[in-house]
Amino acid sequence: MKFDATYYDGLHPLGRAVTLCINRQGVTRVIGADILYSCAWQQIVVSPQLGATARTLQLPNQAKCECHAHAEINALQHQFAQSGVNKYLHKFESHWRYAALAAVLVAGFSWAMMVFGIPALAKTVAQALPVSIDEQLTEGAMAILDRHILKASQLDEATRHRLTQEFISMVEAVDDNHQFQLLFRRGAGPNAFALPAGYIIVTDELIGIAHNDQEVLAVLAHEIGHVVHEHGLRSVLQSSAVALLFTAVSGDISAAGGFAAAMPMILLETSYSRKFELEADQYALDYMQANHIDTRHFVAILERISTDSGREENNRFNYLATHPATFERIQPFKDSSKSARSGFD
Amino acid sequence: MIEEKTLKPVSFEFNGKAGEYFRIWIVNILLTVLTLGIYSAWAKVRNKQYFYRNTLLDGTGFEYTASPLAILKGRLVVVALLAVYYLVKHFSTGLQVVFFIMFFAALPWLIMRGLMFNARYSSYRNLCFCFQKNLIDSVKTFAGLLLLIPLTFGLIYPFYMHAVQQYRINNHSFGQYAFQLKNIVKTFYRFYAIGLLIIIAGTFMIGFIYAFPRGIGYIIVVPLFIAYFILYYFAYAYIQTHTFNSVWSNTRLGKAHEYSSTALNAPLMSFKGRLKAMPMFKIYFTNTLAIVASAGLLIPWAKIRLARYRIEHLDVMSIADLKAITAVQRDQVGPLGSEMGDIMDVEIGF
Repeated sequence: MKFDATYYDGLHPLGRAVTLCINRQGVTRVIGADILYSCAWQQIVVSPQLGATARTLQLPNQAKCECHAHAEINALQHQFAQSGVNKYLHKFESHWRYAALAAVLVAGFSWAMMVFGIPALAKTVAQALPVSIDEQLTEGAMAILDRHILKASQLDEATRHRLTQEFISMVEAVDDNHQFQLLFRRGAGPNAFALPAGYIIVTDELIGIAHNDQEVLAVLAHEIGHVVHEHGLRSVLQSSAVALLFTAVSGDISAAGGFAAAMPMILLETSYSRKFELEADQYALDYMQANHIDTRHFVAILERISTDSGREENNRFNYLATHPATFERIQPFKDSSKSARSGFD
Repeated sequence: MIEEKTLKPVSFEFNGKAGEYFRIWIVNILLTVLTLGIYSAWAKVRNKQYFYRNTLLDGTGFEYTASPLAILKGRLVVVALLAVYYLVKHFSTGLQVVFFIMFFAALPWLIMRGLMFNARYSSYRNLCFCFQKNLIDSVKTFAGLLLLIPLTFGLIYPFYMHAVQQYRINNHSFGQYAFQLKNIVKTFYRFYAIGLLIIIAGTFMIGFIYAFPRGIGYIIVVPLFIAYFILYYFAYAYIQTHTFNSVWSNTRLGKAHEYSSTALNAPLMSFKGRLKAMPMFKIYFTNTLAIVASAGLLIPWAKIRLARYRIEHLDVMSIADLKAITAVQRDQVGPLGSEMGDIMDVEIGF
């Protein structure tokens, strides 16, 4: 076999015309005006085929031959060397139908990874990690909350004592090794938060708009659900994994600019946190049913919170909200209270 | 402008095709995703090689010869560090600060190593480029000047950008010849000042329209936001275009006296940048729109388009006889710096 190439000796950037002659045993002779070099084809490092670009053949003497003789080179590679993977790579890259298939697979795989892979992984890791990590997470968060957002509670001692007692009897029944603790604070509107170590913070404003203790307990059950399901640690793990993944992938797509890359990340994080809210709701629902508390209390306080904070939670913004729309959340509680009433009445 | 007459224009063209590159790009992504990121090292080489090989100087393409396996090792180290960082971030502010300080302390070294790696494995006609090991200037630029930017309220930012270009270009060499960028810091200040004026003037305009009676202001809120976006993009394109042009037009490849940063004799190659702000702006802007609208599928098209415009608007003049250049022995360079730069987006552009 015979083909022409340009020879670069590796010492000067001068190209010289040569002919490569390869015999049946793979003995390769490079012949030019003042060049005569010979080696075995197997000793030559052949660059993979890439689009329509030139191939380079690196000879054992560090010289390189450059040419476009793809058919000849591929035949020789097939005969004398193993380059299976590279061959298939170029085949995939040269057909539109494979490219289309790749696009579909990438979309499908990324979707599955985001929706199932990362949450499942985070859940497994969160359950394997010791509670001490929850405590460290909590300390930092609590310090920030107390410094910037929350103020000391102005609630009277009797109410606090009563709610704490009810909370204690509530968490005693929970089969979980978190150290639960109820904390009263003011600020941040009618709200309650759970910190991973088991701190549950409830605001004076929330207690203020509650019509009875059962309503407060319903919210507390929801927050306990967050702690039991390790939502704090899981969201940390998930956002770390997502950030890592996006940085790794966007290394190749930096042309997209920050905004285009950040958008799917924000959507993803909000969708994760909505799932956690629904999971905590389910926990509250189970708790209330098990303890024969009317689930209408949860409905009532949730509706009051959403109107009080003036957030007209509306179907249109559903996807961007960290909390699912109120009506969507209260539906299972309404259903449950209906069936409970028909059962008991 | 010494001995310009002996220099003749050399063809400099880009041969990449959007469709062809799209297929390479999507197969790269698929394999990267399926191998949970392992393939990204091979993908990087293939991507980069595609642009290098399709950039033809005097009819011959450049070559990227880095080993994917070396790149993979570098990436694994960086990803491990990043994973630790993301976790530490949530637990302790103290540790996070320690991490940050360590990263910034290592930055000059990492940037230098990145440039060394990239140059060592970039070649033209079987001769590789070289980036001189110059840690002192790297520390001056990427630790000293970078820290001074906030302290001087950004006033030295153009000076810093100029120092970055000088560091990048003046330490590169090809064979025994060195690249040399003249001191053009005044030009940098001029273009950054004009860019800033464009933004200030635009902001005033937006403020003025906002001050209108509420009725009008309210209706045009969304178009105004877009207007600001366009304005910002335009200023960016303006600065990019003119700094690119002046950097290349003042760069020479020639034999330096004793490998120092003093004047060159007999340039071997000189360059001229001919980018225009308006077309560059159009490319940047429509690229962004196309990428967002196509959910990323048009990224390859956007990259090819930008590369083509840039390369087609850079003239290269060279002496006819390249025999004068001879290879210089080169050492191997590890990939850590280059991968850190890649993943953390410490792009200082070429």
